Order: sequence, then structure tokens, then C-alpha cells
Amino acid sequence: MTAVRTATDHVMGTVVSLAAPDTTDPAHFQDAATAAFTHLHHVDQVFSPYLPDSPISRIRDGRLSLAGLVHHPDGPQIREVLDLCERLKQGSGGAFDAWAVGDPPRFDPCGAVKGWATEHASALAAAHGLPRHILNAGGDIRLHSGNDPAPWRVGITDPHHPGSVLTVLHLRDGAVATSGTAERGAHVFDPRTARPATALAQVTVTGPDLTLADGYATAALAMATDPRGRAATHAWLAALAARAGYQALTIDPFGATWHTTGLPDLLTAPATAMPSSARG
Amino acid sequence: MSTVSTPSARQARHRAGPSPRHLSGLPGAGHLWSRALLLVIWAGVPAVLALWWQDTIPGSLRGGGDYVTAAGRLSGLLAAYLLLVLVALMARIPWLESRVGSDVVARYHRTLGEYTVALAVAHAVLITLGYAWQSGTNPIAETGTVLFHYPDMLLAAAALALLVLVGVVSARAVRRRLPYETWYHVHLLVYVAIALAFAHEFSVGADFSTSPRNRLLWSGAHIAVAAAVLVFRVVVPARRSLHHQVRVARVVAEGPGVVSIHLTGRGLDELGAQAGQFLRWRFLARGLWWQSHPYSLSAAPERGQWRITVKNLGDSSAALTRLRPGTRVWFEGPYGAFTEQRRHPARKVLLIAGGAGITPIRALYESLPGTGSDVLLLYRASRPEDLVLYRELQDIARRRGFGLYPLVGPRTGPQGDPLSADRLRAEVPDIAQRDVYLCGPGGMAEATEQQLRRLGVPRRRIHREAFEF
Amino acid sequence: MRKTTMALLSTSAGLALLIGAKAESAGAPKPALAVTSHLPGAPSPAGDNPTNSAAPATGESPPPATTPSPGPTTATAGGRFTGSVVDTPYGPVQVQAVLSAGRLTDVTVLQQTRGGHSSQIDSYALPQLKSEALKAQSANIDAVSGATYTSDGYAQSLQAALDAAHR
Repeated sequence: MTAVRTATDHVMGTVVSLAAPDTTDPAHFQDAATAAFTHLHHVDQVFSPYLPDSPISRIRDGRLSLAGLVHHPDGPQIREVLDLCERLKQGSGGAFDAWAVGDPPRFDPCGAVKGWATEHASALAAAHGLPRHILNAGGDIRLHSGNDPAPWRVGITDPHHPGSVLTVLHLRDGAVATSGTAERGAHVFDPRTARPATALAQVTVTGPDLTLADGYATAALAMATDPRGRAATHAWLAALAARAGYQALTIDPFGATWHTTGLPDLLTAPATAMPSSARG
Repeated sequence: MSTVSTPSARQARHRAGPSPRHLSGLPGAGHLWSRALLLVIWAGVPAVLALWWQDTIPGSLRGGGDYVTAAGRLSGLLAAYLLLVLVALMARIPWLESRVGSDVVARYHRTLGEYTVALAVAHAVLITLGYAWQSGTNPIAETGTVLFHYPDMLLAAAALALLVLVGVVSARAVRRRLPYETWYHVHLLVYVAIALAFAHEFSVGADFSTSPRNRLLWSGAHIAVAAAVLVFRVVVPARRSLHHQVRVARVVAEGPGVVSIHLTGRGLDELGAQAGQFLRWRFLARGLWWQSHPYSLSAAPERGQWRITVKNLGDSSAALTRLRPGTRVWFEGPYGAFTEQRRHPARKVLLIAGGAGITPIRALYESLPGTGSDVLLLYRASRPEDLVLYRELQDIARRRGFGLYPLVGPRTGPQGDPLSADRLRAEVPDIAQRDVYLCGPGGMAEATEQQLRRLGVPRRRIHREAFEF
Repeated sequence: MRKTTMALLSTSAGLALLIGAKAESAGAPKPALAVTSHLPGAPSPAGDNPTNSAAPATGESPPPATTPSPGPTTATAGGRFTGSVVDTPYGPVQVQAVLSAGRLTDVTVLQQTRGGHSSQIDSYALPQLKSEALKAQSANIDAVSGATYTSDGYAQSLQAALDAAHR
């Protein structure tokens, strides 16, 4: 992918990059980028927990009841995200719970919103004349290849070697989501226990849909800090790969990596499609 | 080691499964099996090294630090594997006890044990030095980093400390000065050590943290060994003790400070105990219930009757001389392959007992088939009063016509060592044609075996009950 | 004791041979993507200002929505892009991305992490993935997936270097 044209924008507290082959018509590209970024900015306004009057802040503070969503202009979207949060909570056995984020626990669906919004933004870009593109929202990636058989190459950052990639995934269509502690500067060791404060430094999940991939990666990271720990998280990810075909790669605070059995297929030969069969 | 029966049974530090009822009487069978066991143990070594070979990235070894770290990883893998072997050897697996022989198994355990502790220490030292070299820190600081910042390393350090402790109390010089119970209970810490070390093998060990297959194999091996220990060291003995209801029948004084303890129980004959075997006894009396001791049967078991003979050594064995009839007894066993099956049926037998080693020899002397010179017994003691059970031996000799030669006197007497090759040849001219059963204190047994080899007795025909004290 | 000493000596010899054989089997060592090769005097287009969009906000208070500011151009860039020094849990790090004709050809860590932790961590890395990472040095990367960076963090990210290359 030597020649691509790119656009970037600051949104949702991060930078979102859109890339497409430079053979793309500039007007089409501009059009698609605008559609995708506008969507993200809109979602940011609706779901930002930092804006005191965003619907999410009002739900959190009890000023907007769930019943009241029916009449809210963004009601369907909020419903969709709430349903997603519920699915992720169920799917992760409670490790990911948008209704109990932080201390004191508060309602905050951010962990689920970014992937969901990017998934939609990418679909918008495709609908606006970019059959082949890659949308990277602060490290969470959704990509399409259209009719081009060549895969996109997605590097996975190595949390222990800043600036280098751990490995490269080859994907034609699908999503890659990574959750981690490195960028947030989490301390690696808990001085009280002399053990890692977090059981996993980074979790990457790849699969067809960014909404779910992002949710799964976030949930896995949360699950690993739970008493059930790393082993339970890996078992959960393996089961997920078997059930839904979402492959995962984790790195612990000491650099040890773990991955689902289907992941190596994405490392070497250009994959023609996302693996659909289950290999956990 | 001038005492009688206490050590005679203690020698049997190892355990054996149920009696080898169907063991082939072929000479050397035990030796073939012991070769097979060695082969199995050795086969694991390349397998373990292969784990490392497979998991080490070509080109990742780029300097002294990498080499030292690699050596550390390899020695760690080997140590962990051998620890498992050591425990398996002591799991009282019937096949090991009856086919290979408890004495052989115990000898392997002893030899490997020392080596394994050394490997574990080397592993810790090499890994720390390797990391320090790689990162350019000093080894002291690196030790702190590894201990406090790597997962499960404090547990692993505790495991290493326990292993070293076990190694120290098992070293001959220390072992000799320790009461048996202390040595035995400290030795049980090996299980704790393995459990503590296990966590860091998976969380830090590159060969396991990254490979589900290796973790599966490794856990499987640990589970198999743990199951064997549980079944053969706990479940089977508990079931037998509950079922057979063994009790002290009577305690008979045999001489100054020496008593024989007669035991009865339900259906003891079902256990098929044989002359030459030993059991591990736990007398449920005040002050005794918490320790178990191995003692050989000092008479051929018959009609549901067992007997052991114990000398008051001033430690817990003193309490044994005061046991009351009716005391319940828990037991493990019978163990040991120091039995009639070891010999070739057509060969004559020479029994050599040293001091304490008389108890299993006494039982064999009573029960071995043959007449006249088919069976000879050389009974070595420093003083005449140390010839325990001598009257019984005389009775058997008279009844069956077997030879009985007491060899009394200091080793440095005017006639030299009574068990020197020259003396042995004079006493037993056809010695090279006989199967020899040898039981006595470690030094005496070792020296005697050398003399026997000089006289042309092949190793496969020298049957020893390991006598470690 | 003598036996054990002999066994340990022969073990040392055996392991030395084994490690030697393994080291030999590798052939010439390959430079990893993140080798520490600093070329002094290289041109350094500022990599910490790779976008032309509105002023970045801090991570804790993301900016209110601004108008989209895509800046597509067809030009591809080359040269070295040096990031600013970032404190990571592994020590201060400065990243330099090398681009040629729009391709990310190398990434250099200008300030090594302290304590050499990284080299130890290496030995834990999954071999399968590790060798893939070695191969990846020649691969073009279209995008980088990592833990979410803030608007500020983006400047040091590989993705920023990629985006800058296509500007």
C-alpha cells in the first residue's frame, strides 16, 4: 500500500485517520471523509461523558430516563449503544459493565462507543464512494478492500517497545481493536503486592465487526484485572474465537504473548478473507 | 549403626508396592527393569531440551548475556523435570517397587536428588546473572528486580530455599546426625517446593507462558505424578489400614533394649507380605501417632501374624518398647523387592547381615527353600551381645541344616576385616556361584559388595537392601 | 558427591554445546524493526506536528466537535521524523520513524529504555509472533492498531508517522 491519500481529524479525544488508494477521486475521498468524520463528531457530542448536557451525561445524572429516549432525536442510537453495553456485559460475565465504570461507579458507555461509532463511520465512507479504505480511530481499525484482492497490513503496537510493532496482520475486510494500559502510562508493578498491577498490558481482538471487536478487547482487559485473572480471560477469548471467529492476541506486563489458534493465519500469507470458521 | 532392627528397617527408606507375586524368578530381571527405568528417565531429557530448542528464536542468542540466560533456562527446565522424576520415584508405584526394586529406586533418587538441587541453584544463579548481563545492571540489583518485579518469583525463591534445605538435611554428613523423623518431615517439603515453583514456570517460563501445548504436557505430567502419589502413598495405605485393623498383639523382650512387636489383623494374608519386605508403621499411641517408621518384618509372615524387631535407640524407638497390646497400627506396604524372587531358583544362596540388617535376613533365612549348604548366613557384629535374635537363628539352622557363621570382632582385629575377600572365600569357597543377599549399614554394605565383586560375584546376583541412615 | 560433580560438569558441557549449536543454527542476526541505530545528522522534519487540524486538546477533556479537517494530498514524504521524548512505564523513549517514498522503512528508538527491561522481555516473546515481527521489518504497514492514544499521544504514534508520510 504504497500510495494512499489520507485525512486526519481530532475527535473523541483522539485522532482519527482515513486512508484510501491514491487512485481514488479526490472529490469522492473528501466527500467520504466528511461523512465519516461528521458522524464521529455527532456521536462524540451525544455520548461524551465530559459534556454536561450530552444525553449520556443526563442519563448518568438521572436527568434523562430510559423511557424518555423514545422521544429523543438520538434515541435509537442511544438504545443501540445501551443494547450493545448490555450484550458486552452479559458476554464478559460482568467484567465490562458500562453502568459501573470508575470509582465511584458511574454510567459511562465510552468503552463501547468508539468501536461502534467507527464501525458506522466506516460504513458511511464505503457508501460515499470508498469501497477500499482503512479507518483508524485512535488505534481501533475498520477496513474494507472492495474488489481489490490485496490485503491491508495492520501493525500491532508492541507495548514494551514503544515505536515498534509486535506483528502485522493481513486483512481484506474486518476490524482490529486494541485495548491497553501502555498509552495511559499505567504503572506496571503494584508496589504493595510486587505483582503486575494489571494482568495484561494489551489485548488485540480482530474479527468482522469493530463494534464487537472493540467491546471484546475492552472487556478482556477489564476481565484480566479481575480475581479470575489472565487464565480466565484467555479461556474466554479462546471460547470467543471458537464461537464467533474473533481472534485475539494478548501481551502481559512482562512481554509474554498469547493468541488464539486462528491468529497465525493472519500473520503470514495474505488472507483472502476473515476466517469464518471457529478456531479457538 | 550398631543397632539391630531399627535401622534394618530404616534402610528401607524407599517404598515398594504390593508384593511381586508374579515376578519372574529369572536372575537379573531387576537389572533389566532398572535399565528400562533409566531409559525412561533419560528419554525425558532430550524432550525437555527440545522444548527450549523449539521455543528459542533463531538469532536471538547474540551475546554472553543471552548465552548465560539460555543456560539458566535449560537448567531450570531440567531441574523441574528431574524434580518430577524424583517424586515419581518415591511415589511407591508398584511397578517401580516390585520390578525395579525399592533399593535401586532409592539409589537413583539419592543420586539424582543431589544433582537436581544443584541444577535448581544453577538455574537461579544463571538466570539472574544472564539478566544482569543483558541489562547492564549489577547482579545484586537484578536479583531484587527479578524477585520483586517478576510474577510468582517470591514463591519460586521460597521453593528454591526449601529444595536447598532438603538437600542439606539429606547430605550424608548432616543426615547421620539428624533424628529420622526430622529428616523425613523436612523431606516432605519437596512437595511444597514443587507447588511453589510451578507458578513461575508458567508465568515467567518462556517455554510455557507462550505455548498452550507445552503447558498442557507439563500440567499433565504434574497431574499424573500427583495422582500416583495420592493413590499409592495415601489412598491405598488408608484403605488397607482401615480394612485390616492391625493391632499390637504383644511386645516381647529379645535382649537388652531390644523388643519384638507381634502384630495381628484381619486378613493379613491377603496382602501377600513376604519375608524380606518392610512396612511403614504408624503406632496410634501418645507421642507416636505423628511419625511413621519403616521396619522390616523380622519373621516370615504366616497365619495373619507379623513381627518386627526394634532396638531402643533412645529416640522415638524407646517409646516402641513400651507399646501396649491392643494399640492400633496404621501401615503402608508391604514394600520392597528384597525377597526370594530375586534369586535364581537353582542357585545356592549366601545371606550377609550386618548388625541391624539382620531383620529381613532373619525372615529370609527362615523361609528360603533348600536344605543344608543351600543357604548360608554370615552375621557380622562388633560384639557378641550385638548378635540380636541369635537364638532364633540357631534354631532355624539346626532345624534346616543351614550354615550360620557369626563374624564377631572389630574390623581392625588381628585377623583383619571378617568380610574381606580372603576371609569370605575361606568361609564360602563356592561364593562366586551363589546369589548373595546383603543387608547392613551403608559403609559395611558398600565395602562388602566391592569384596564380592572381587571374588567374581556378578552385580546382578548381589541383592542389596539399600541401607541409608 | 564425586558423581554429582561429574554429572554437573558433563551437563555444563552438554548445555554449552546445545546453546552453541542453537546460536550457529540461526545464521546472521537480523535487525529487528526497533533496532537502536542512530544516524546523526539526519534530516528531521518535525514529527510532532504531523497534522494540520485544530489544536489538540488534552486527553481528559476532549475537544468539542470541530469541523472535519481532512487534508488529503497525493504527495508522499520521505525522511526522518523525530518524535518528542515520551515517558513510558519503561523509561523515557524517543522514536524516530524513517520514511522513504511514503513507506515506513524503519523505526528507531533514540533513547533506550532504562534497565534493559526490554531485552529480558524479549525472551518471553512468542517465537512464532516474534519471527513474524522480524519479517515485518520489510513489510509496509498501512495502519497501526494499539491502545488508544490521546490527541497528544498521537504525535508520537507510528500512525502519525504513517499519516505524515502521505501528506
